[in-house]
Amino acid sequence: MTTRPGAYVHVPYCAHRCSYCSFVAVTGRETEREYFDAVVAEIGARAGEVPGPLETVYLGGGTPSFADPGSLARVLGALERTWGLVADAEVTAEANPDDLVPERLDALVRLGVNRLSVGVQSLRDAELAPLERRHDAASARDAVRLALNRGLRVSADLMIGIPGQTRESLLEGLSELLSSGVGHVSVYLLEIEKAPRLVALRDSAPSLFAADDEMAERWERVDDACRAAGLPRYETSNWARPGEESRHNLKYWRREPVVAFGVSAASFDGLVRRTNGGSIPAYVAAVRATGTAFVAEERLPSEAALREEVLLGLRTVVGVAAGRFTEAVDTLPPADRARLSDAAAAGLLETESGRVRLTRAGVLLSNEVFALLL
Amino acid sequence: MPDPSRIRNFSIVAHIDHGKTTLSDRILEITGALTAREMREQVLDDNPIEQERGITIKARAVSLKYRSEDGQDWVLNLIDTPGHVDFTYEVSRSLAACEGAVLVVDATQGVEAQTLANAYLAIHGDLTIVPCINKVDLPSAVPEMAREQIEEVIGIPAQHAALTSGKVGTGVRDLLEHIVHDVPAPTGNAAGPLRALLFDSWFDVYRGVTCLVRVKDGAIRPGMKIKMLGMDLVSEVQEVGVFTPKAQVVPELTVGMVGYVIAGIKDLHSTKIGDTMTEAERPASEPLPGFQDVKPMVFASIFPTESDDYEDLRDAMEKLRLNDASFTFEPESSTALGFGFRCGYLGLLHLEIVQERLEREFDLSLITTAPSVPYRVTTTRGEVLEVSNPVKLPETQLIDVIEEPRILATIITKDEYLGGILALAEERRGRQVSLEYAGTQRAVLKYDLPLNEVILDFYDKLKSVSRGYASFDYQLTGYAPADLVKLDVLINSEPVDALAFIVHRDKAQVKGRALVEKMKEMIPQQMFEVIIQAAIGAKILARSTVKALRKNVLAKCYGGDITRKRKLLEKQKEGKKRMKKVGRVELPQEAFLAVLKVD
Repeated sequence: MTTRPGAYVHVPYCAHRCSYCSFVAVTGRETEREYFDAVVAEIGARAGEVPGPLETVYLGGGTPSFADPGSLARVLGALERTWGLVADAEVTAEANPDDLVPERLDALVRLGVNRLSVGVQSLRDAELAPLERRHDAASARDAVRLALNRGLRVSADLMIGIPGQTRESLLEGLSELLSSGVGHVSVYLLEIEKAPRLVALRDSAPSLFAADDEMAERWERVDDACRAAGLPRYETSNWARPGEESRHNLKYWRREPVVAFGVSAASFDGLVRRTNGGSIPAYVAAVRATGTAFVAEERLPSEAALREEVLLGLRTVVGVAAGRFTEAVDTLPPADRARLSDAAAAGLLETESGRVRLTRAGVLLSNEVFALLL
Repeated sequence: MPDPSRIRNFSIVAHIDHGKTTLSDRILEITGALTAREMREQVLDDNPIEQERGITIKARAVSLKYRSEDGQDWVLNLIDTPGHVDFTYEVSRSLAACEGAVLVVDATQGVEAQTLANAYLAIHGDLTIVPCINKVDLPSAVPEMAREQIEEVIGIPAQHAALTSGKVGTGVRDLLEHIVHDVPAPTGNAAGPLRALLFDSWFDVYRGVTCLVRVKDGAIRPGMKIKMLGMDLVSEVQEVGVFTPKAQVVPELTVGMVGYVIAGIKDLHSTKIGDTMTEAERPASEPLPGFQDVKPMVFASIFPTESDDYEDLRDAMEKLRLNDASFTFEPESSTALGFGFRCGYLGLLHLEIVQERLEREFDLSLITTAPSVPYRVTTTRGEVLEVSNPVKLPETQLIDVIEEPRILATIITKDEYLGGILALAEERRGRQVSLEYAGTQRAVLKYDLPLNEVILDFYDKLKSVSRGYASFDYQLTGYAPADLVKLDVLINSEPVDALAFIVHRDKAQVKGRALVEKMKEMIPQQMFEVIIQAAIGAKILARSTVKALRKNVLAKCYGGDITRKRKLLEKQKEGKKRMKKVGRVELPQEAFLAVLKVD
């Protein structure tokens, strides 16, 4: 089976910037029209980069649900015209619960979106406040219900380590989402290092924040609860009912081609990773002038590429073929090889039926392993 | 060349911070060697580490021209001396090139321990002491007190001591007058044969070895074949000169002169400090009284954190030793740390300076182990061994006696701090030798102490119990038996040889407990639990545990992030580079010195 490429489009507009956000996002939509003109132009200009049709489309952000559906329609139309989509293409949009009123949902369905990744984060209002999300728990519940009712596949994002969160509040929220019928959850560990407002909060009220050990404990409980609900984990932070895994995101972990458009978007054609710049005006100007807006290009030497393949593969539960793993390890200096054996001896890695994977303890310490595979 | 009767060779000695360097600079300025504008701060301290730490490590010499008040012209050779107790040895070799020593006493502080030690060195070397009471410009200066103390504590007349301020320049001319009139002129046989005392040497890649000498008899000039008395290597003098402080070539160095000799010597170790330089064809029959070989009294091992850097480390040490004859090293192999070197130092400051230079000047990442003193072990078979590395201590059942080096410490303090100081000295297994008062409220305390209780942190502790007032100096006195044991440190049940140290049996329990707790703080969490134990033989004294790390994970990793995440991981990996892997455990550099950080 040949692997079909995926397409990613970055929609950098948000109503408000959340306190923990590290993505390229702007509030205010003055530049929206010329931005989407540029995205459409960029798509046209890069038609030859990968063969069609596209297997997946992912509208990420920012907040795609906040953008004008007409703009999204132009972008999806351009992708369709340029490459075409496979019959059962997965078309995902990231969405903020606040935006998912019935009319907007209908519009997204009409565009061909068949999967929503909803930024629920928490089902407690008190926990949403420090994240500076604009929605509340009630609107999150409504959004998920409405989307499921329209036959969309729904993934809900949750967060571990929100200030004020308890183990109970987290698991209650998770269990409510699981019983509502979502077929996919992504659960992330909150990282506050690059979020000054959260760092300030931690300095003034450290007791609101969970220690690392507690974060680890919560992650394991989440893993247990999802598995029990029939959504086994398939990647470090992702759980799905079998068949509902994100086909788009799996491409990243399998090092498969994805063409990506818009500010800060990173494309990969199987060999070379090219990244667009992060400034909207510079992006628009570059596309107008040349059709593309790459500011960085990286082609890993074959050994490093092999190690990256193993590193990314180890994020997935299926892991990597033992042969590939061995090949990658053989490229390492002896000291790092010894450290990898130590990691295996410490129970972070396991080999089973010809595949190497991280154990559950290993997932939580995966950086210890990955740092050796650079 | 100047007539010997017109030459005065002198050093300036002082307790640390009594203003020796500022005074030297002022002398340079007044004699016109440098104008104030030209003068960098503290020109004699030309090593960056010396300047940062405000201490002088290496001796240097400078020749100055001076016209005295009676209109006569003089050549003053100022031979600088180190200002730290670790380098007492280098003070004595500077003094060996002089007829006089200016003894500087801070008018606000009075006589301190190093004042006393340095004065004794000068008296022992038959030098004329020129007392000088410095910092008289300060409002808190009490010159009378300093004068009394010089007379009472040191026992030399100080009625006519020069009253100076190196900072503002007052009294410096008066001091120079004292030097030319009180210090005797050098004497020697101008007809030779050549005898010159080598009192310092250093190496640079362009010129090879530069020898700093004091000519006693004869003369040295370019073209002359010279050798060190008692050695075979003959070399031809290429250049001689003096430092003013810039190097200035002269036609010859004659009796009484202090200057440099460049003779194409490539190996610093063929020029041993204290040796006598003589003419190859007409060698002197008797060497000049040199000085005793310096013996390192503090030993510690150095290992590269990356074993690949071993050869680089060896090269760096060779280079360093070119300029530091008192630094010794020999290859060592550790089960835990691989290949490294066992190094000998004059003291802890010397150790720190060497480590800092190796890391800074040679860009090496190093592990230094806890310092040890040399012990003398008599085995049950009657052999006497010198053990300067705890790893080499024989099995307990093979040891008849262990003896440790002891010192006579001189501590000078205000009497109000005496209580704390006595408690500290007792806690360090000291035996009081004497307690005398000099003037009011000033106590001169002598203590017999084991060196190993002093090398690590005694001075810091002394400063803290005396609010910085007490001063300290010591001299080695010999060896005495003690009930010493080797304390092993086990990491995950494996003894780590490089962490072992020798301690008095009575202190082993407390020290062991404090150590494992300190190491627990220093060792970062790892993929697995790390158990730290302190033990004597099979007996575990203390234990602590670093819990296994539970979480080190990047939650999100999607398309645009992969490159960025890789960079994050690279940073993490970079952080670990400075750690040393022992068994499966990564130990940070400071963990090997944890014993220094416990009380």
